[in-house]
Amino acid sequence: MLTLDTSQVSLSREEMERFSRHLILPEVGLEGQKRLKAGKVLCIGTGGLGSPLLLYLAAAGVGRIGIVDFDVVDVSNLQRQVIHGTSWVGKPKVESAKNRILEINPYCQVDVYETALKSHNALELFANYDVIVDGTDNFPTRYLVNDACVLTGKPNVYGSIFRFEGQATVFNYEDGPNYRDLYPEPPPPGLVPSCAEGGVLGILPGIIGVIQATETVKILLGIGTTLSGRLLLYDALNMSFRELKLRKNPATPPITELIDYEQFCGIPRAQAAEQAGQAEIPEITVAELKARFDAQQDFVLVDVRNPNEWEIGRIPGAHLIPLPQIENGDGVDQVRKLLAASAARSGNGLELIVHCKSGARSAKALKILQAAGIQGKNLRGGILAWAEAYDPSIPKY
Amino acid sequence: MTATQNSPSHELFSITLKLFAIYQEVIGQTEMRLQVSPGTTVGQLCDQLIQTYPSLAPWRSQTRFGLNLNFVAADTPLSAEDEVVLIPPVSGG
Repeated sequence: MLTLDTSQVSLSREEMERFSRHLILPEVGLEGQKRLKAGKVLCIGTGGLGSPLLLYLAAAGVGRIGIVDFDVVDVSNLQRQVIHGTSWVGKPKVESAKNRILEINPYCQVDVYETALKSHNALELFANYDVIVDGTDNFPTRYLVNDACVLTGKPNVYGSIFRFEGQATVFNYEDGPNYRDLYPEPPPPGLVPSCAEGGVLGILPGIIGVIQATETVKILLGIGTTLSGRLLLYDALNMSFRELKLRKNPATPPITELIDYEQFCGIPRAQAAEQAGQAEIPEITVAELKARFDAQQDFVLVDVRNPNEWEIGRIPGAHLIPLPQIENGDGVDQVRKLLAASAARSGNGLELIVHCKSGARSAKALKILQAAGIQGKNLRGGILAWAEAYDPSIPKY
Repeated sequence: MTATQNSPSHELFSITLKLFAIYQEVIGQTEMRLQVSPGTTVGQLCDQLIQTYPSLAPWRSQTRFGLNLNFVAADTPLSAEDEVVLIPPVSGG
């Protein structure tokens, strides 16, 4: 059980009333409520997972909550990041979260860190807290949170989500396994889509975040059985929960220091490779595309986004051929046919312009087309840049 | 899906494969019943799946294997009525 000093902690009359439903639970009681008030929790990220779990930690009476996030509230966050409201769009997430936490529980001390968690600040930050909650959204930070928890001896309450599915567990608690026992090596960059790339059901992080809050409160209270040594898998579409026993892996090398986690996850190399790859693909700006439209030039415009994105908005005259079809070969044939038809129409070969949402998938598509002997140009910045410059009727998504 | 043929003298048996995240998305099912031959390991089962769905190949080294609700190594052999779970990493938050 976590050592918490409650000797200096007392509850006011107002707090007694506020937490009365806890006080009448024998498993919590006055001593438990004092433990929650003595407890110090650091939450990394105030996004989909951080939002619901912070609301409940505040409501439960956790005495001190630290929040780390460098981001500002975006309108597209509000579908799931329920701690933030519309009036906070454009403002720092940590300030928005602090405001809401104090609205729920003015007895909570809120420490805000409007910064990115990095190897140079993690150990110092973690040292001031009893429990660390991982609500981050990328692999480098997840490995950093894990390693810093191991080095500082803090429990790491883990949650992670993908579209309709979530994973949750408690790492590094009472000699249990840590993240590296589950995933020793990070996946190559770009393999696992983020919520921004893959989408996510807004309610999903609510479920997983509240599970993380539950585990945090149990650890502070020292009651029940935590998820340490068990990975919980949740599937919202089937409404199924499943858990797998997780053990320490003796082959996992010991963690002795924090490293460069961007490097560890191969990010700089992947970015360099992507830039080099894109450099080989000729680009066209949205202004140049506009000029072609204005001059009524004939060209072939291919949109490689997915059909559901096409439904959101499209550039007039574009042909939808999603990247997965180009990757499996069918799309290459479709592009070839489009070019042949346009050549027959105009009497000579026409320029091919390819676009996606912001330019990465279309570059990928053009590489595949290049390998098949088809040359084309990539619309820099994709449909988002086009919408920004020329067509406000296309929603940014 | 074809079964391995390394023990032709033994009968094929059935297992259940539960699919998560990218596996569910690519294969379009949450669960499959498969016939496998004795001696087949969880790793070989995953390899066979990747033969049918080659776009899953980059996920092979990242995937963890659950066998009857325990994490196991890739070389763990399957038995009749086993439940195999393929768990790729996810990072969203």
